[in-house]
Amino acid sequence: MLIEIVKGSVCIDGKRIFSVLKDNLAEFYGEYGLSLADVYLLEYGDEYLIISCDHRMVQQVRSAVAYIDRIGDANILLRVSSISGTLRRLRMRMK
Amino acid sequence: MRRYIDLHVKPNDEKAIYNILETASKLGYSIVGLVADEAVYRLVEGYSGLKILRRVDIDAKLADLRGYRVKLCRKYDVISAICRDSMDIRRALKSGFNLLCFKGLPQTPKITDFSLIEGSEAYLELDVCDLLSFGRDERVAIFRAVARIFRYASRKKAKLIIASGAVDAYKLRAPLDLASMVIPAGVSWDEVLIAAVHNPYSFFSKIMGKDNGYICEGVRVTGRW
Repeated sequence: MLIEIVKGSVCIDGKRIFSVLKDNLAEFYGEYGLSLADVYLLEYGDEYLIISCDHRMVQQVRSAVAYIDRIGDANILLRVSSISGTLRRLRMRMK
Repeated sequence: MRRYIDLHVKPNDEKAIYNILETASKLGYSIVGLVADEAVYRLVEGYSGLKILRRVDIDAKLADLRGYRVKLCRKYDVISAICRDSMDIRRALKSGFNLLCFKGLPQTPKITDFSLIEGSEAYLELDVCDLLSFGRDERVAIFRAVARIFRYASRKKAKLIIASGAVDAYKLRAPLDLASMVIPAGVSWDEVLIAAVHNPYSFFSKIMGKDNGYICEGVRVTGRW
């Protein structure tokens, strides 16, 4: 899943965004849901994150991304810009 | 190509208007319902390639509700009634509103209200931006209410619309992300897509006086073979 950082009041580290995403998943779907989602961070940059998740939990992970609007004191706007089964396709879409 | 619509955007100030419109365009929206002053509409018309619908929200508790609707219907494309309970919904429907923005969460309208909404061919709108402002403890009650609203709407075949209700650019969400925000309430993806994508477009076609054959300005389907 390719997550684009559309807007941010300050530059935020991808690992921090990912940890907030996991917190949201745990809050909405519990630890069982978090384990089913099987999310992990593959790659990140200044304007994007690539995460991997179980294909049956894609909508749930998307909802957890949508609920991220603040990290610490900074505002942030994220968008799931692409979902694919392969990293190669995601990187193609990034370009 | 699918046209995504965010029917409810209500910026705090003039600076936020441009930010919101620019971000909405980036996120993939082609039509935005904007609540702003009349002078602002002229300035932002066609901004970032977006079609802007003039929208006004009227409190359903006002005395002469029908009078306001009739007065404003020529100036604005979308007139919605802000409803906080069942009484408001009934008053708004009686006054002929076809868009009811529900702001009473975590309370829910009664199931009979959904029959009335279905009967009058009106749309019930939920602002998902409100979900961001609630804390963890309140969210449980909110999700329960949202789930109940979707359940009642599907049972009574009433039409729901999901809009952002964004006050600044950070509260906007991409169309499918916006739809996914009610997934934690236990609503199915199909139901959510209808509320977030299909119903806003059918409402837009209805207010623009166009049927399903509408493609773009000046082009429409006249027959199929």
